[in-house]
This record gives sequence, C-alpha cells and structure tokens, in this order.
Amino acid sequence: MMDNILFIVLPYIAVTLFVVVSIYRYITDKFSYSSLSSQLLESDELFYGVVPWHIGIIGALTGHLIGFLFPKEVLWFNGVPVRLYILETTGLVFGLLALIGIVALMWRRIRVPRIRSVTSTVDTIVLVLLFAQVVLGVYTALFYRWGSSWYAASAVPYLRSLFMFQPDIEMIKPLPHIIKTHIINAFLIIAIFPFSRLVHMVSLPVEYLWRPHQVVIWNWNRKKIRGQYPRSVSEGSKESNETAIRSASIPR
Amino acid sequence: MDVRLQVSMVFHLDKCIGCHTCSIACKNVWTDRKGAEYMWWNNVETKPGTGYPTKWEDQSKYKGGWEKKDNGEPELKMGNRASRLINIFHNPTLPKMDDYYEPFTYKYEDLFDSPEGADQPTARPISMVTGKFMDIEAGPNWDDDLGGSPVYAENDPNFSGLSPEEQQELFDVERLVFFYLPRICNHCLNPACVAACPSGAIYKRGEDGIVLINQEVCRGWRMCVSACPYKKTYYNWSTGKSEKCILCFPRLETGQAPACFHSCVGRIRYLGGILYDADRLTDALKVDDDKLVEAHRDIILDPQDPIVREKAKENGIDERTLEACERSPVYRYVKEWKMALPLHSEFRTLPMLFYVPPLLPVMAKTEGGVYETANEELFSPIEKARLPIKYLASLFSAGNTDQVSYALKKQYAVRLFKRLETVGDVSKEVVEHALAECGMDAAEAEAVYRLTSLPTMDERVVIPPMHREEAMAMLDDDMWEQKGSAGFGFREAPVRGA
Amino acid sequence: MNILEEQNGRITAGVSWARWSFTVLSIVVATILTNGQANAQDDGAKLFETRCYSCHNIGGGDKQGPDLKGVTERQSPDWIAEFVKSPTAMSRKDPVAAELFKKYAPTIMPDQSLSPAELESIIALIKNLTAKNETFVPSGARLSRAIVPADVVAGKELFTGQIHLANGAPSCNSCHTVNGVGALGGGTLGPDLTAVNIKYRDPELISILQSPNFPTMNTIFANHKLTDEEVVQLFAYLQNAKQVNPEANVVPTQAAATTDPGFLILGFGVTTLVLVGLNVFWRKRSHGVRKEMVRRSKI
Repeated sequence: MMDNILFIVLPYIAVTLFVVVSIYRYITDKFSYSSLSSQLLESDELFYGVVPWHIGIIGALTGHLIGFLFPKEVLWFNGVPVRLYILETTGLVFGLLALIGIVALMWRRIRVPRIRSVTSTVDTIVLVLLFAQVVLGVYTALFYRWGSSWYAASAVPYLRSLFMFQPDIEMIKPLPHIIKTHIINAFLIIAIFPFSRLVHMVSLPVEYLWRPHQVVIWNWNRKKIRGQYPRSVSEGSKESNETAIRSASIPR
Repeated sequence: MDVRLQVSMVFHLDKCIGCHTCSIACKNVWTDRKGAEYMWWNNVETKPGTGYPTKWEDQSKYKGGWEKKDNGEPELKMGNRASRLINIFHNPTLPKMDDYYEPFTYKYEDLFDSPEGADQPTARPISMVTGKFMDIEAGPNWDDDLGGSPVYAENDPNFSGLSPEEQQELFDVERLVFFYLPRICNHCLNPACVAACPSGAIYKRGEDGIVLINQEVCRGWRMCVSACPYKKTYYNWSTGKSEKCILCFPRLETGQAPACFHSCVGRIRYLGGILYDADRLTDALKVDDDKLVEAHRDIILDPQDPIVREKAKENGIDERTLEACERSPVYRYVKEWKMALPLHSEFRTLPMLFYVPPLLPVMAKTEGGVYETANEELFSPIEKARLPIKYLASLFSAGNTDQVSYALKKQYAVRLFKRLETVGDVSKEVVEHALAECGMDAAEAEAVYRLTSLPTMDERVVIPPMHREEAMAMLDDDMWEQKGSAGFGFREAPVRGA
Repeated sequence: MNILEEQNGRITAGVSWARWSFTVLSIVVATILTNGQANAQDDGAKLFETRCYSCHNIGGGDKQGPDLKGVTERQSPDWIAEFVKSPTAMSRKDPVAAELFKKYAPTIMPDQSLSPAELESIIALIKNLTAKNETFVPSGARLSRAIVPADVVAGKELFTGQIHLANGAPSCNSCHTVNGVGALGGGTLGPDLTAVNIKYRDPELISILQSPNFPTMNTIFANHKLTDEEVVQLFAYLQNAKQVNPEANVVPTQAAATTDPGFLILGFGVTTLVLVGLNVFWRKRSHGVRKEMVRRSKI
C-alpha cells in the first residue's frame, strides 16, 4: 500500500503538478520566471557553489536521462570493464561536483547576510531536497555499484512503466532503502519544481546560439498602415504583433 | 537605404552645473523600489573620476561593448555566443553590488525614541538589502566634486593616455579642474546589451529606437549588465530581472519630455529625432577607432534630402515625424555643427546620446598664482587647457583629438563672436578668423549661440510624434474600447518569483 | 557498530561505518514478488525448488534456514501460512517464531507472496517427503554438460559483461563482485560472490543460476533467463573463484559495505582536478573593482 502511494501515486501527482502548474505559471505570471541570481550581492563564494553545482547536476541528470532513453546501449557500453569504470567514475565526479556545489551554496546562503535576505522558504526547501538527493545519489554511486548497469535493468523499467501508464513497481520494491528514498525524493523535487525558482531550468536560452544579435521589435506595421493613405485603420490590424505590443508596455 | 528613426539626445556639458536634479527626478519616477534602490538610470559623475559603477570605463575589467576582430567584424568583448552560455551560471565580469554601493537608509526613529541620556542619539545607517546596521563604504556620487580624489579621481581610466606629469598636474591644488558628466542609457544603434541577452528579452523599438527590456522574457542571466560598456543596465536583486533607462517612453508617447530632460536646471539636455541608414551600420563599425566618430556621423541622414524623405516614407515614417526631424536640435549639434560627440565611441555600440564637450574648465590656467585669461594666440586657451585635450578625446572621440578640439574651437569662436557684439573688446578680424577656422559663418554662429544659450523648451525637446493612437488602433479592432483605459503600469505586482 | 543489512531477501549483520543510515530503515520488508506465471497448478516440487530451496532443505539438514522436514507435524497449516506471509510480524507475537529468528539470526526470512494453492502444494510436498522420510532433490539442479577448463574464462567474460548474456540480462558485475574481477571490482548492490560455492552446495548454486529467486534478481531475470550454456560457464567461474581466493571470507553474504578505495580515490581525485581546472579556466573572473581599488590607493 505504502509502496503504491510512494511509487505510483506520488510520481503521477508530481508530474501532473510539474506540467500543469509550470504552464499555468508561465501563462499567468511570466514575470516570476527568473534565475533569481544573487551574484550581484555576493560573487566570490558563489563561484565555488554555482559552477560545480550546475556542471555536476547537469552531468548527472544527463546520465540519468541517457540511461532512461537507451538502457540497452548503456548495458552494451558497460560490457567492457574499462568503459564501465570510465562511465561510473564520470558519474561519481559529476555527483561529487554537485555535492561540493550545493554544500557551498547552502553554506553561503546561511552565512552571507545579503543572501539570507533574499532567501525564501521555498528556496530553503528546495536546497534541502536537492542536498538530500545529491547525498543519496553519491552514496548510491559509491556503495551500490554499478548504478549505471543496474539502473538500466532495474529502475528504468519502472520509470518506463510510469510513462506507459502501466505502473509496475515490482522492479524497485526489493531495492535498498537508500535508492528508494532517492527515487521518492526525486519526485518530491519534481513536485516542488513549478513552485520554486527551479523553473529557470525550462528557460534555458539555447536559441541564443543562432538568433541574430540585434533584436528590433516593431510595435505596429507602419509600412502597412502608411502605405494605404487615406488609411483605413481596421484593415491591417490583424497583422499586428500582439506580443510585441504587449511587450512595449511599461517594463516593470 | 533603410531609413529609420532614432530618438536621440545631446547633453551640453558646458552648461551642466552638477545639481543632480535629473537623477532625483528619475529616481523618484522609476527606481524608488525594492531591488532598484542602488540603480541610477540617470546619474551625474564628476570627471576626472571613476564614475558609477566604479571604473565602468575600464573594459579590461568589465569586458563591455564590442571589439573589432581581425576580419573587421565586431564581436562582443565578452566573447562569442557560446561563452555567454558557458558563463551563464557565474558571470565572470559582472559588477558587484560593492562596485555600485550598498543602498542604505538611516534608523531615524532612534532620533525620537531614544531614552534620555548623556549623548545625542544618532541615526545609524541601515542596509536596504539586509535591513541590518552597516558601515557605509560608498554611496551615490561618492566621489562627487573630486571628493576622495587620491582614491577615485586618480584612478580615472581616461588617464591612461596621459603622461605621469600631465596626470600629476591635474591634481595640483591650484590647477584642479573637473566637470560633470550626466549619463543615461545611450539607446545605441548597435546595443551590446541586446546582443548579449541570452533570453532575447532586450530589444530596440523599431519606431523610435528606444532600447527596452521585456520584463516578462528576462530570466536574470545578467549578461546585459556586463555587456553594456556604459553599465546602464542594472540587475534588480529583488525581482531577479534586469532594468534600464526607458527614456520615459510613456512620457514621450504623450508628448512630454523625459523626466530628466524636463527637470534639467541647466537646460543642458536636447532631444530630437535622427534619421539614420540602418543598411550602413555594419560599415560604420568596420573602421578604426579614430575614424569612428566620423563614421558614426556619416550614417546620420539629412531629413531635408528629398531622397531620404522618399525612402523614409517608404519605410512608413510619417510626414509629421520628418518635420520633427528637421527641427531636431540633435541633428544640428551632431551632424550640422559637428559639436556634439558620442561618449567612448571606441566601445562600438554607436551610442545615440551625444555630448558637447565642456569648454569652461579648459579656458584658463593659473600661471605663477595668476589666473591667466589673456590670449596671445587664437585658440591658445584650448591648446594649453587645464584639462588636456587628450583627456577629453579619450572620453568623446576614441582618442582622436581633432574631433574634440574642433568642437571646442567652435564653441570658443561663437563666444568671441558674441563678445564682439556685446562687449566689443575683440577685434573683428580676430572673430572672422576664428569663425573661418571652424568653417562657420555669422549666421551659423548666431544659430549655435541661440540654441546653446536661449533655447525654449520646445526648441530643446522636439519629440517626433509617436503615433501611439495608430499602434492602439492596430491592437484592437475597436480603439475606443481603449479610451480611458490605456494607462500604463503593472497588471500584477512586480513581486519576486519563488 | 552492528547493523542490519538487506541483501537478497535476507538480513544479515555487517559492520560498516558507511551504512549507519541503514539502521533507521533496517526493518526490511522485502517481498518475493508474485511470479506472474506461477499458478496453483504448479507442482510443489518445482515451486519449492525455485522459491524455498536456496535457504531450506527437506531432510537435508539446516541451511540459511531450518530444515523443513516435519514442520507440518509441528505446526498447523494456519500457523505456517501466517508465518510465510510475514515472518517478521509473526516473530513479534509468536514465541516459536521468535525462537527461530534468534536461532538463525541474523538471517531474516523475507515475506513470501504465495497463493493459498501454491502454499498448499508446498505443504503437500513437505508432508509427502516427511512421510516417506525422503530428502528433497532438486530436479533441474544439474548442469547440462560437464565443465571444461575453458568454461572458467568464458564464465569470467560473462560475469564482467564482455560477452553479453544471450537473453539480455545485465551482466553479473552490475551488482556483484568476485575478488580480482577488473581493476575497480564488480558491483556492490548485491553480495560478494567470491565464496558463494561454499555458502551454497552445488545443486543449490546451479538452481540459483537457473532461476534466481532473490527479490531483486527475480524481477530482472524472470524474462531474461540464463541459457544452459551460460549456467555451466558461470558455475565454473564461481566455483573457481574461491579456489583462486582461498582467504576469502567463507560467508560473505552481505553486500560489500565499503566501496573500492581505488574507485573512491579516482572519484575524488578527478573531482579535485575538475575544481582546479574550473578555477584556472575562470582565473580572470572579477573579484570586484572598487574595494580592490580603494585598498590599493595611496591613502
């Protein structure tokens, strides 16, 4: 019963919250989407937190994602022990980087008064959850080896079953509690995601790599409107870029 | 030819009295909010000085603006696009709050509530970030009027072109010299902040060239803050969004001068429309530093040129706008008279705020304890200036002294011209010579004099019609629905996201 | 510190500084999952072989758990049913069960989800053998062919995954280690198998290889069974493992509580290198301008 709640109900609630609230928040309150960087207030200590943290967590999440998408290929890759060791060491290093990063970030948040003044309750919850997650993850990587292999065989079928809406928790029931907690905590993080500053993740600005450098927005199409003197205002209005017009309203 | 309109500005530094009324007007209207306390969209610095934020001109530290690559193409000094994403977690060149100052107030209630005692109660400073007592290490205009010169003024980055002796001379007590440099966003033609914004939140308005940050798209990546070489975008530490001068566009759209222009006591500020050729922007950026001012001037178009007018209309620029551009005081100062120069054009953003360099502090030297104003030679005051021309050239023409001395000579010639008229102690030949030196005739000298000394508000601020009503009409089928409800402001409170 | 460890459906004592957190979670309820294919028609002997035989004998003496010969005479069917359903719960209220737990500590029998019919058929088997005074002999627990020396090498390659298991199961070293396998050892999710051929007698080990009925393995191997040939080779390898590591712990039943020091050092070493690298990469980052300028000024 408990297992069903933790490994079936919780994931679906978490993912539903994640999708629905994120979209709702994006539509109704775009303004609240921000990285909420505190670098302006404190920069030197931030470096030792934020850089290892992001490198570590992005690496670790990518690893989980690859294992989820290509479990067979991961098992094939791990067939040669040296490759397995390289993969596992890489994973461990990402985990340790994330651990060092989040410890530095928590330490800074507690110690630096300027940073404490911009810390909300949600920030604290998120930090604690992330810290727990990274500790559990690193512990797993060290003491329940080799995660990259058994994850593909044991946890991935469970995660996939969730995605297929045919939840099957038999695979993960016998796993050690540390790993189970890691899974549960992951869904807690997904659940709190849309209510927290974590939303900055979904606005990763990759399109910056190819968009033109300069951005010019015409609030209204003057060529069109001026081109038809004497002008009839009602025509051409459909051409207006509504987003652009709204964006031209006063910056907050 | 792609003719576009830019609402552009001239600040006449010879008239600035450093009263900071502009800063206060701006602060009261726009930045008197949590997270924005430290921001001065308009600030007035003392030069020599390190400015706000400290040493903003030193791009070896802040990596603002553009630089010309070997192939002539401009690239952000911060590096290529990929480097922006790599540095997104920790921006290595972001100014720190301590480079501006930590905003503070005082615990005034202690003055009233303290119990009776042997000592006067004091109001201790409180940080507006932490709410705790703090020691003030810096504040707005911390080095105003050369305050703290040995720390601040002596570190002015513009001294790098001066010899140590020249630098030393500047700080001899009897030769001390300074002037004021009011700064707002330059609303550049090639804005580095726009180019650096990973989210694409910053944009230039096509209609009038005002550079704005869309607060709903901004994600607080802070690249604009370090990309802007003038440090005129600011990060709001409370909302997690960047903000900048909006040239009071809600005022412009209703035909009013921006707050800082409106409140300017010295009437140093001029605003008007400029037509420019957007097709030639890239060419203007390919020239060497010392040619930049000229190249910048070259892309500005004559609003009376029939071809330009033709092309402008093709681009949808209204006849009334063209009329406003003809009356633009900015066009006069910048293009016709070549008296107004862009600030630090070597940053290659093509700033559209121009400065008439200050003549006053260069007028005389103290020689042997005597304030020497006698002119043995025409224009000798300029050449022997207290404030070296090289210093002004570093500020206003990327080191090209010709541009600055021309602007100063012209001012000086006008001065002689009027002195002949009003005092009469200069000879006519000298005046004619002086005017001829700057390629000026009497009519132009009179015009310069009028626009410099006696302009009315309508002459100083010529706002091209913004045609907000047409934009509105396009927004909604029934424009009358907007009547009475088209104000500006927040639909939701600008609260920090969780 | 004496703490409880879960591994393969039993709980054993282990000493580990690193697993202190487990004490909190140590009352483990590890369910042997219902095998979808299992049904009441299954022969009791087959069920016993796959579900019970790794720990219990009928007539062959005690193993990890007690010999079940005669249990049907000592206890009622209801008692047995309740015990099997949740041995831990039973041990809390029933003195006999508690006594058994004490005797076989630290091994704890995991909860078994057997249908009434399945349980019925197992009980029938026990009754039958007890009555005939026979010993249970697993039917499938025979190698399909004799071992040849080359099997040890092939078995090691199967173990490490250099040769993929034919039916797609992950290689053994994902979770298990054997002394001397690879530079950083094998997995530690499951127990060290170096001395596994001492812990289990040959038929038992073969039976486990043919059908691993431990909770974690059961689900993975249910649809990815080892082939007969693989069983032979892995059996040969595991048998050999003890011989080449004579000093290995005879009952290394718990998962290795510590990690390989090489792995630890490698991980921390590379992390330190990365941190140093980041510092070098961003060595020109600004540490603030004004404070530094004021500090360096003449006054």
